[in-house]
Amino acid sequence: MKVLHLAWEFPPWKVGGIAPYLSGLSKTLVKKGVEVHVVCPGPETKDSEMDGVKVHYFKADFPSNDFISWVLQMNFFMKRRITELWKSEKFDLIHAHDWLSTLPAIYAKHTYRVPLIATVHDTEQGRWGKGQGIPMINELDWKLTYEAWKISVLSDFMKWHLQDLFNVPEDKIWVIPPGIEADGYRFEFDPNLRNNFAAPWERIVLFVGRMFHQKGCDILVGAAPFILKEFPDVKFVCVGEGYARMQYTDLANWMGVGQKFYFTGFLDEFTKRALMQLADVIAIPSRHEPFGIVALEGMCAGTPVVVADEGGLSNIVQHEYNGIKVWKEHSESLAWGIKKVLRDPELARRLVESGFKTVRERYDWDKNTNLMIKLYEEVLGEYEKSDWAKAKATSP
Amino acid sequence: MFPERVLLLTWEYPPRSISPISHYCKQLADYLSSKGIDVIVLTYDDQKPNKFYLENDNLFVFTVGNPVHGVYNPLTWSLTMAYEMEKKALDVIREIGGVDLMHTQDWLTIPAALLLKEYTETPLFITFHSIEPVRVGGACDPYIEAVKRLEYEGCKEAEKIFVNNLWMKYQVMYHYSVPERKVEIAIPQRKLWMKDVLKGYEVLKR
Repeated sequence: MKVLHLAWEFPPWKVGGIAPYLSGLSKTLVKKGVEVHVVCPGPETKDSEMDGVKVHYFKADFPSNDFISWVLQMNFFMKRRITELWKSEKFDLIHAHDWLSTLPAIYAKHTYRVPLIATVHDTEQGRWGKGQGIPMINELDWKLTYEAWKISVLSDFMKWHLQDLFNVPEDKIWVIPPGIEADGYRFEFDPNLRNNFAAPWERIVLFVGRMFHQKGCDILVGAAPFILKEFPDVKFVCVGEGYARMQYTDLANWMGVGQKFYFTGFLDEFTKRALMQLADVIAIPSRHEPFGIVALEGMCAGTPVVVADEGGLSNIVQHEYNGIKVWKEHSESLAWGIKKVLRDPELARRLVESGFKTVRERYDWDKNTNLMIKLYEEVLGEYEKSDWAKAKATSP
Repeated sequence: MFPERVLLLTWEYPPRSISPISHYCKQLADYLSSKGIDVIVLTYDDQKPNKFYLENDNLFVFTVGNPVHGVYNPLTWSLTMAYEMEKKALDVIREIGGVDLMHTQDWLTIPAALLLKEYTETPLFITFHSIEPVRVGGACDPYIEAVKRLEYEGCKEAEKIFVNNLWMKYQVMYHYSVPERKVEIAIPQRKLWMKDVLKGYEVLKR
């Protein structure tokens, strides 16, 4: 089976969550005997191979005033790369990731008459609220779900979300969670690293995420006074970059808790993972979360997580079993959850233990990739019986 | 007779008429079809998309719309409209078994033409009624650069480029480093200028 993945990012080119997801999935697919090719933008046009995955980069130097113009130009060059590639390779399936590759995916589907599978990681209306966001992106989100033979999503929440938003039939959507390499989050490191972020007597409440409205770092700032009243030795470390970082810093200062917050900006992967192990609690107060990989990372690192009862986080965390769920967009409720963990070390230990078990049982690449292969096989089976297979034979 | 079939890509064709391109295409299509050449015109029409009509025995007109709404500038419009144009062109090419050449007008239909050329390996001809560096003077902006890039890619891939006057010929040569032999002048103000275009097509015979 030969599958062509279309994505706007793939390592070493990493911007959001698609790159690590696709990297993990494609590597495991290759191990299981699937031939995987990825077409994506990169620093230069070249073919390369990473862990058996054949990556076809095209140079991403598109002049643009705005993101959509950039994406549409990227899509145009992606189509040309696909056309060039298809002259020497024939693929059985196309697998597209999010609206960023909707148009090339539809082009390839209709031109070569092969089935299209889409993974919807998130939607524009999910990010900005129902009826909000850029209409064109919303339309491309819908188009991808409409044109795809089958859709895979990362959580039960996303399945419901797509049904609610675009009336996608239930049997068209498969929930295939990603995997995570659990061992990569427990390693030895210099204990002095902690001193870079907090004083030795301070307890660390960690936030990891982009500094956007969607991730809700301001909710944590709002929770700080409630927490500090009972635990004055807490230090809030916020890792991530984004347009709202200064706004959150100002908010913390205005609330009189600025000295208890450290906004680190972007951190390298090693330091981030080390910090996850050092932290006493990881707070995830997202307003919208299609999956919530940070919760899994926290579980792998052996740190209790306190999450907002929202989206994919609700699916991952079971209250008081592998984490604490609190009300969405509610600082006082978040403070309650964090204090509960800080107050009760026995509860924290239990949460960590169950969290690690959850990751091992449910978020294993090996197991979840089998599900993806099953989806591929089912689609190919349906395709072989359809008119499309005959039409492919008559393609020029 | 060469060519036997020509695919004409344009973003306007009568009755839709915004600039002289529409009239230019109509005259060219009528002339070529009067010479017994099958002409397939693929044009944009937002009022009547996905229509087909026969203008005479050799002249077929197909219209397409833009599959994406909410586009906000000519660049995003062109890049999204290209998808519908490619799809329709491929359907037609599949149906009739190929065309001898493609002729496109200005940069708006270049994205579709470039991809069709790559996929079907059909020779490409372009008429530049104007080019972006001429339109904007010395202005510099990412949008302008993106349009210039499309025009440059078109020049690189085209067998022949038609322009309307000598000045434009020098502009195309200067801005896009096109060799002189590749640029042909066909002045629409002259009677039977279409003959020059037909003569330009003969480069494929060599």
